Parts: sequence; C-alpha cells; structure tokens
Amino acid sequence: MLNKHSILESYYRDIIPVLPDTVSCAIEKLSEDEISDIEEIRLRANKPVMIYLKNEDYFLGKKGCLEKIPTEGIYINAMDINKSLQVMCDFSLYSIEEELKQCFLTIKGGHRVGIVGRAVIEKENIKTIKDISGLNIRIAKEVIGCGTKLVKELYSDGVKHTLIASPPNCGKTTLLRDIVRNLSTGILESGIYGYKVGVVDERSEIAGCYLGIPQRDVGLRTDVLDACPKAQGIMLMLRSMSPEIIAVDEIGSNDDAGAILNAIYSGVKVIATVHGKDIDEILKKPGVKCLIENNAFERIVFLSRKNGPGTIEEIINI
Amino acid sequence: MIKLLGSIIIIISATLMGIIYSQKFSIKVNQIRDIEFLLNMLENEITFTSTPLVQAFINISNKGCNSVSKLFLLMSEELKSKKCNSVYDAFNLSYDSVKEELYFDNDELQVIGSFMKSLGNTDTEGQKKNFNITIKKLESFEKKAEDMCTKNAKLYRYLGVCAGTLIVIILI
Repeated sequence: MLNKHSILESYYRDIIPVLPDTVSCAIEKLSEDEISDIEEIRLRANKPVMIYLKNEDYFLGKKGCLEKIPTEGIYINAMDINKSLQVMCDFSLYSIEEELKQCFLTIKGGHRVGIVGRAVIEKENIKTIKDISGLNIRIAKEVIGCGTKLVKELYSDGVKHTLIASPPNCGKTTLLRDIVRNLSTGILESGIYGYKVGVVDERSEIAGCYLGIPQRDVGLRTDVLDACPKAQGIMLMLRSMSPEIIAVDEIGSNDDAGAILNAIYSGVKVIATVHGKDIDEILKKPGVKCLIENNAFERIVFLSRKNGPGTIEEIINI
Repeated sequence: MIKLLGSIIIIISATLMGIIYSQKFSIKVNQIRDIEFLLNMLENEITFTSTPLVQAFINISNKGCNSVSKLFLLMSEELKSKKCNSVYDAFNLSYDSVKEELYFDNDELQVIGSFMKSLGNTDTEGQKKNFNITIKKLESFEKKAEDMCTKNAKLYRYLGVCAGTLIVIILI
C-alpha cells in the first residue's frame, strides 16, 4: 500500500528542508493529495520550477498552484541551486565526490537527486561537476506490499534467479525493495520462511541508507552494503555475509555480469533490475546479454506505467 | 587587629587576581592545542571516512569536553537546522555563543575563520590542503602563546602580590 501519511512525513522531513525557500513555501501550499503524488521536482537555473506528477509535468506557481502555462511560475537561479546542493550534502561536497562524478546524489530518506552542470575532465574521466545548473529530485516512494503477489506467484516453490526490467520511472526499485522485504521477513502462509538477503545498494536507492542505516523497510534478515560498486559488493557479500539471496539494482556492465555469474555458481540466488522495455532492448546491454546467454536468470519480469508505476507487462520463464 | 585582617584580605585578593589573570595565558595555550587536536580528528573524519560535517562535528566534539568541543557541537546543531547559508555562518553564530569561554585573539580567529570558509567546499584533496595550512599556522600560534605564557604568567602572579602589598603600604 502506498502510505500517504508516511510519504507526507518523509516529504516534510527530508525534501522541504533542502529546497530553496520560495519553492518549499509554494509546495507547502499544495493539497496533501498533490504533495503525495509528486514524483519529481525539477530545479533549473533561470527557468521555472517544474513538478512531475501522475505522468504529467506542471509549473509551480508562486501562490502554491500547479499550472500548465508558467504565468506566475517560480524562477530560481544558480545560487539557489548551489545552496540546495550544499544543504543536501550537509555542506560537505567532499562526501559526495564520487556521486558528483556520476551526476547523482542520494539524500536522507533514499530520494535520488540528479545533477547537471559543467563536467571537469581529467585523463578522459569526469573529475567533478561544477557550475551546477539543474537538479532533479526524484521522490522515492515505499509501496509496502507491491511485490507480495509477485513473490507468492514466483517464489512459493523456491526463489528463482530473477531479472526485473523496465524503462526509468516504472517502479523497478520499488518492486525490488518490496520483493527483498517479503523474502527477508517471510510470508508464512505461502511457505516462505525468510531468507538471508544481501543487498548491494550502489546508489543507496533500495534501502535508502543514511549514515549506513536503512531508512526503508528491507526486511528482518537483510544486510545492506551501501554505496558500494555492484561487482565488488557482490563478491564481498559472498565472502563475508553468507547470503542466500543477493539483490542489486540497475545492472548492465560486463563486470556486473561476471560478479552475478560468480554468485549464481556459488549457489546464491540473484534478483536484479535493468533498464529496458523489452527483451530486445535489454539484450543490447553487453552484461545482460552475457547473463541471458549463460541462462543466469530463470524469470524476467517486464514492468510499464500502463496502469500506473509497477504494472507487470510480462513474465518470461526461461 | 582590624588593620592586619584588612591588609591580609587585600594582599590575598590582589594575589588571586594576579593568579586568575595569569591563568588566561595557560588556558589560551590549552585551547590552541585543543583546536589543533580536534582539527586533526576532523581531518581523519573527512579524509578517511568522508563523514559529512554535521556528523563529523558531533563525533569530534564527543572526544573532548571543553569549550572548543562545545563550539563544534554548536556548529553541528546550526548546520543541522539548515538555517545558515554556509559553514562560516554556522561558525560565526556558534562562536558568538561561546566567545566568553574562548581566549582566541584576532589573528587566531582570522586563521580559523578562513579555514571555516573553505571547509566542506572542495574535494578531499582540497580539504587536506586546507587542514595542512591551518594546522601549521596554529602550531606557530601555539609556540607564540607558550612563550607569552612562560613570560607573562609569572609576571602577573608576582604583580598581584606586589600590587596588594603596595596598596597595604599606601593605606597604612
């Protein structure tokens, strides 16, 4: 269930304090239903603030209304964006050095913030991002129970290696989190007694860790390796925490594939997600192609937004 | 008898005033040492574990229980409230609350202030440089303060006794 109360609570605790004052004041004037439906807040330098909800984008008005035409839109500048970023990282840019290179940051509550600006290059690699000109705050929503039906359907006779695929914003991570919660805590009436789950949470989105502590419910038997690169994290989990299931988000590279195969050959079940709307798209990713060719996954679940985020389009048995 | 008692009280009071004033120098040396120690701990928090400043200030202030630790704890609270615009603002606000307990003079405050202006604003390498420069400067301040302490602490103690005696002689 999407818990409106907990979304609003997280909103006021984690999102409002990091927004520029003008934006937070206007958002606070929106109705509770509108606030709990917000999926993205986009801040761009010298452009009106945009809010994305229910598959549509709106301009945020000064009087706290959502408009299709920016008659009284709130404009913000680069300084406002910079101040927001400073607050998001607790005035500690060094602590998000690696995240800046990847143009994203995860704030308290597990909300992901996309960052754009001017890249500083050193030896063909991104050293950092300067002159930040835009932030996209993606509100993480914990939908407790969204994966229960799928878990009962897929795993009543044992956990299977599973790949969840969808384009961005279709609820992959939310579904993965709930699957992890169900498998870790167990669903006694379906004969699922709880597994030791290791989550390698490279982008801090699954468990939404803050200072190492999961802010999301990821179950009773879950160990989280936060902010750790997936390939290294999977190997570390295997060696150190003896998991029965390993869960990772957004796989794709050959390194990821190698580590996942290693886990599978070690007798550990793997549940992973990947970007892609159908089998042809996901096979274009070298790592995923290698995994599917090696019969690594037993089930592939495709999601869409047809009936809202998390709509199950197709389940392929391999 | 009353004259004798009065004279003793005057001498003791003046001596105590001298002692209290002389202690200012040793407290100042200790406070410079404290801030050097805490900055070393803060450097570890930043360069080794990349702990954000709000938590790093709490961690280092737990390792001491003096006015300098209190300054960092207050800064953590200011930053946590997200009302200030920068670390430097948080420093100024917190310093105002504890300045009665601190004995830093303008030169030292300037060095600490410029350290705070750069704190958190760069990558880890930049932070290391900021710490190196500041700690070096603080070490020279510590040496200067030690010299002042050895020179002046005794002087003010003797001055207290002498002033007390002088007042008694004049009064008698």
